[in-house]
Amino acid sequence: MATPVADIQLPSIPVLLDQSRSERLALLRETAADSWLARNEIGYSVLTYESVMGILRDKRWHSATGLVAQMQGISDDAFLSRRRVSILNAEGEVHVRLRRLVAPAFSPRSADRLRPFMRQTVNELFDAVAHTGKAEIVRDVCEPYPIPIICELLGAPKEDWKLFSRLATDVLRIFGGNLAEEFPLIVAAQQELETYTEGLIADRRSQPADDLITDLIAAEESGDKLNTEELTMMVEAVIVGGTDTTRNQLGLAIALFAEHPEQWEILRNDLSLVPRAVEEVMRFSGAVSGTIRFASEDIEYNGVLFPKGTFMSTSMSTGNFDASVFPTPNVFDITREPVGQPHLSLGAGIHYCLGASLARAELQEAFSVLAERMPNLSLNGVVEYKPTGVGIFGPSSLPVSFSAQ
Amino acid sequence: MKVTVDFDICASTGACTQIAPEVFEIRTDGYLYILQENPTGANEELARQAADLCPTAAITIEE
Repeated sequence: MATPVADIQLPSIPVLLDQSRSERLALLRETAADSWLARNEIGYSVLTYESVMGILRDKRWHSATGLVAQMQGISDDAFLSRRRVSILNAEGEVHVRLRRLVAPAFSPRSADRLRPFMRQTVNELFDAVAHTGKAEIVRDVCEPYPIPIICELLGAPKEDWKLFSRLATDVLRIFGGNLAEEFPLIVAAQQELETYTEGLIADRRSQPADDLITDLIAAEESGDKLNTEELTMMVEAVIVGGTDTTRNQLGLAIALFAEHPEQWEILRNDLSLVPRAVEEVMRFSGAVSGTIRFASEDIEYNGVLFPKGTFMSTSMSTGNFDASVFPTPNVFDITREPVGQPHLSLGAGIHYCLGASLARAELQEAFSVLAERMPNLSLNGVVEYKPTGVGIFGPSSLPVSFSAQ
Repeated sequence: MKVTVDFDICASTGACTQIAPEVFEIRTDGYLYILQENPTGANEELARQAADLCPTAAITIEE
């Protein structure tokens, strides 16, 4: 018989607001050394590679991303009733149908087609600072970088980049941990985005183009199609999944390389290491440090009974440092031999990041352009980080210097 | 058993390579390769699990 989780002695992971990211990670990794499971403020956390994989691959644990607002105490009916099934939280047949319909647009082949545009985007952003030898690289490159790519992917015209950037930022405030205050802004942005997207869809229905919206409209299997509401949901999911993730992961990467100049030199001297470097950055310092599931029924795992409704955080930031999978996990080494088991930062199981090929391509292209154009990269001031909230983590300000060319 | 993958749908998520590494492989080009089209022994069950857990339902198993 499995022991009910409430009856087990477990370490707890307190949330301390003045805690820095590195202090929190140190505490989490110390806890993970002794226990695969811990208590947190909303339920439990799994901390080891095997248990994170175990939970993410078990279909009885459902995605809780649709419950982020409720978990933060929002009970506004008008808001909650707007929340429909999204690919981010759908399960079972509904999820399989959505994934199958949209998957071709996110294949490695589709991502590869955008590589020249990605290179051009990084190059143009970097041109503005290249001659100075200094940059606030988050503001100058990382923050703007994903917007043109997502717009190009969707088929939004260049004159809409600014509008798009603002709407994406506001919609993503839902993960910011300050929901009560920002709530009206978020709802307004969601509505504006919806109206905007409906306009784009209407345009493409009459004038098809070579872009994701046209693909999604055409996506069809056995007569099954996405309706306008589902198309709008997909566009919102692309924005939520495809902007803040990439920009923060790139910011974390550049911060890491600035702190490990020898690794930057290794990369500069051998650009064939770029794909490996991207994986190592995502393992060592992932922008997404965890995700949340809830038990759709009573679940037994590892001899423990989790009652239906239990919230479970899966801690990628400790699983990625599990020494039983990654030897010498505390060493940042872009030449690390693949161990045959991937890092956890893109998730696992049926909700594994749909945009993984796109994210990898974006990071790979940015790494190779910046490695060539930023010799002698080093920090030129203090790195400031975003608050460690429920969502995506990265630097808010990253002053660097390099040899101007 | 015969394993087929719909490569128009496969997004190279790697879910299958984690479950059945002797049957599926993602190479450095980012694309998925089938190493064993007719898996036998323990790999049969692993291939079934991989098909079940594929996020894009791109894997088909013919028994």
